Amino acid sequence: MTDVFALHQMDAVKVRVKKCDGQNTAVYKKFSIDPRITSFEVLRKLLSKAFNIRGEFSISYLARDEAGKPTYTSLLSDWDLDAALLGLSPDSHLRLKVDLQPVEEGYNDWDIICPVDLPDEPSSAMRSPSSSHPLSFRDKFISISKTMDMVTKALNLSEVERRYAKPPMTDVEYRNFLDSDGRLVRPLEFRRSVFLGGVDHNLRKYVWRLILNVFPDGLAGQERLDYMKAKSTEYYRIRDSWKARFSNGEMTHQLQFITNLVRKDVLRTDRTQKFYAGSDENKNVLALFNVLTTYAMTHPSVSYCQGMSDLASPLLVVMKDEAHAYICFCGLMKRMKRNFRSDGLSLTLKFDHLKKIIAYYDPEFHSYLVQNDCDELLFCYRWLLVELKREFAFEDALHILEVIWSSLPPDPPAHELELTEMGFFDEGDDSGLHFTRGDPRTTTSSKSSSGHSSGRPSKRGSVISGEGDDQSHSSSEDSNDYVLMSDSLTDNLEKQLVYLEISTADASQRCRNASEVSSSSADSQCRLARPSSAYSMDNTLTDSKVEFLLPPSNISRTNSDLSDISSLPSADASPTAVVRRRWPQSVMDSGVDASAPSPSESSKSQLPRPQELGDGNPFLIFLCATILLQQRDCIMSNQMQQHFELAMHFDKLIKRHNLHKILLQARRLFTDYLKTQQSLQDEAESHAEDGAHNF
Amino acid sequence: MAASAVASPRVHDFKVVLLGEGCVGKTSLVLRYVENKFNEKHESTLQASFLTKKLTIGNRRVNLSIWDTAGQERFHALGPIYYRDSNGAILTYDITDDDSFQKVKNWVKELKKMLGTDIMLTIIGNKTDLEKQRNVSVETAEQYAESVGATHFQTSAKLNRGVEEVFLDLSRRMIEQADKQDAEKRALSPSSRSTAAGNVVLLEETPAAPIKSGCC
Ligand SMILES: Nc1nc2c(ncn2[C@@H]2O[C@H](COP(=O)(O)OP(=O)(O)OP(=O)(O)O)[C@@H](O)[C@H]2O)c(=O)[nH]1
Ligand SMILES: [Mg+2]
Repeated sequence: MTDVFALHQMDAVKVRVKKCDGQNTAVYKKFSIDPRITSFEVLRKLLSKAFNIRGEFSISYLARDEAGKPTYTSLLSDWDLDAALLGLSPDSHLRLKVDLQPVEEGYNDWDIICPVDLPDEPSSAMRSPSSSHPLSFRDKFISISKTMDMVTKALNLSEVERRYAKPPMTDVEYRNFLDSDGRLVRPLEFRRSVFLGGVDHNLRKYVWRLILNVFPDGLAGQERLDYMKAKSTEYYRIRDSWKARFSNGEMTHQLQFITNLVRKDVLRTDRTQKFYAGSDENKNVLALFNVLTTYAMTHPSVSYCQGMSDLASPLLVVMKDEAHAYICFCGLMKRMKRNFRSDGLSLTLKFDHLKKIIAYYDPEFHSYLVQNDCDELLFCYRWLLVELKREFAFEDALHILEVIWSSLPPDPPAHELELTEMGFFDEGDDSGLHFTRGDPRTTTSSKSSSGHSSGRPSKRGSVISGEGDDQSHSSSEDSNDYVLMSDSLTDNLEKQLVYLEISTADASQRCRNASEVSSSSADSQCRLARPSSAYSMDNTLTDSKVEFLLPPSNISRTNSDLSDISSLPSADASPTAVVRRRWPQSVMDSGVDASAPSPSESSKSQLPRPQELGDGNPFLIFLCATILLQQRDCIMSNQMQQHFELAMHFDKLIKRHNLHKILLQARRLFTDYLKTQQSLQDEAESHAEDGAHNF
Repeated sequence: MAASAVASPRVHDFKVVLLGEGCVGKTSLVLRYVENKFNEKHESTLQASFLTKKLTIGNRRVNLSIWDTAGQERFHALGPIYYRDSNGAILTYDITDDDSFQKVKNWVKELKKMLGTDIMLTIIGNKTDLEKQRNVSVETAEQYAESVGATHFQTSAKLNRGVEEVFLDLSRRMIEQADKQDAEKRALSPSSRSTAAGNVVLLEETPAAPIKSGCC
């Protein structure tokens, strides 16, 4: 215990590392770590980055053996690290040695770039007293963000990858987002994680249900199972009412029309996938038919339209259960049915926004398109219609879909997900099968406890249901945030890097850097004291509220109308949702995007706001823009001047796109955009406040 | 700029659009024609795609630019984008599906209204390999085609029956039409040949206008 306390007393510890690969001469690096937040795992990651190590390596530290002679001792765990640190005399370096082991085939640096399972490991929580005071910890982290940028630049690693991508969510990571009752805690961070790296395939089944807004807020694990069961029963009841007529031959005109359309399409949807392959009697093809027919029958205002089979197919592949796929499909279509309306308004709006984004980020390319009459961007129609599902190979499509879904703020049903259209009359509905939550007392108590664990005071009743405290839940506080990647998850490593300084080649440089460590931490202390940073405002929860997913009639409203809009009820069936968007200063300061196009200041305010952009899916617009921008050189240098040439060009790229490259840049641009929007809104708000003289 | 259109072999650039209900076999027909491929489970078309084919008919060379459109009713609104300035349209139905034949009639009406008689029409009954399930009789279809000045063909993209003929016949008629329009224009203003329809270029006489560099 005293040992642990001793660790807490330590500030920065200087580290000197020698890397040996057995052949070449040893390479040295020097940096500092904060022992309170540096776990063994973090140290390993730091080292692998510092030396750009792709394979396995072992770490040892210099200690005195029993005879008092310095020898290298293996450093294999947090225990060893503690021992190494506690054995240091004041002001001495921690001396480490890194020995490379043969590089494994196919081990790519992807896997070691981001700390995935770290944030919530109990061990790191034990090590770090600050984890019980998340705010102070965070403050410190923000205040030194500048230093970190400098440091991370010095590190010879792919900064962009580290910031804008992570490996897919694993089982361990997933469990970290669930409390002991299996309730999803930190739903925003959860989405953010999926947004940055997608999900391991065998986890998709669980994660997709969560990000497709199938569940009302705050269900425990068992409650989710019960819910799915009840909903499945409901599904089969609805399905069987048309199935009975179908097999009796009592076909209504509508049923005949729909089954004809659907049959044609399921027979040619993803049939190259093993799941749907083989004869037309494949039972998965039949299940897809059932899902789509049931949806079309119970949603007369949408019915069936080509493209829907593309959206439902991955759901069935992942859920491997017809009813579950249907439930997810309803969750998805709640947002996406707009695309299939015959008025085409939603797609028109998306095209318009895509054009605006291109004009903003690449005016030259935009005017090229305008000059050549290609600025209608019709070759992007399918991209927007089925959210890029067709543009990628199936596995990649699963990935990009989940990334898109998780980019959207949670939109849980207030009570339960509707499996039929509002006002749809189903003769068989006896209402006896609807899902009811478990014991309300347990639910309430665990809710409030999770509210505390989030580290944010719960300010008000749920904005989603408007039902007051009973519904209030920590997640509703955050639940409508846009995902922004510079959060505790991706920046976990940056937190750990707080005091890190890595020297490059020569020794004089090293000395200078060593002195900068102390000055920058002093600097950070004084910056910490300043209350005016964007982040400290965030901590005091002076959140801005704007309505998300405005109905089309409100789209043309300007910034000055925002205060009105936030009190307007949404015309959509979905309840009024609120967006809180605050980004840490660190993101804004970062100079990572040196290569990114820098649009002119004046056009900033011309972009649609996040709640308008893409008619409910702003990130999709950024993905499409990225695909276009990544081809612009090829298009312009080959002087593709006509619509058909561009159409052919992009047709050739179908299922050949580089998913990783596209996602990386799209996330980057999207972050940039959200930041700009945030600061614009801040400006607007401060003006409004100045005018009101209320405070 | 002295023009001698008499002896030069001519190149025609023709735009052809395929229209018709979803799943009648438009994509299959084009793929069969252009790449001689057939895929039983080819995915539905959600966005018009563009293919080209070159052919020589007598002393004429023809570059066909073919737009294969999305068939389902919901995409109907996009039709005009692809059929405007088309020289020819191929309207396809599935011989086993009477509804799809009705759709052909709707398209004919729309095209006549929007483009008049400038556009050459071909009506195709596809999937003749499914003769047993036929729902549209040959006589009805032929009569109808004649009544609207269209040619009628029966094809099977699956068995590659009649596909080549469709495009050959349509190309011939588009050449005739182009010649006719040329003659009319010459008659109107013999001196200003340059205002002739943009789809005729002289091979020998390359104008000084910028030539596109080869595409990737
Ligand atoms: N038996 C038979 N089937 C055919 C023939 N041509 C096409 N098909 C099948 O009909 C289905 C639809 O063909 P497509 O070429 O995709 O139809 P389409 O008109 O392009 O359909 P959309 O893209 O939805 O507008 C596919 O399953 C084809 O295999 C044919 O000549 N005979
Ligand atoms: Mg097609």
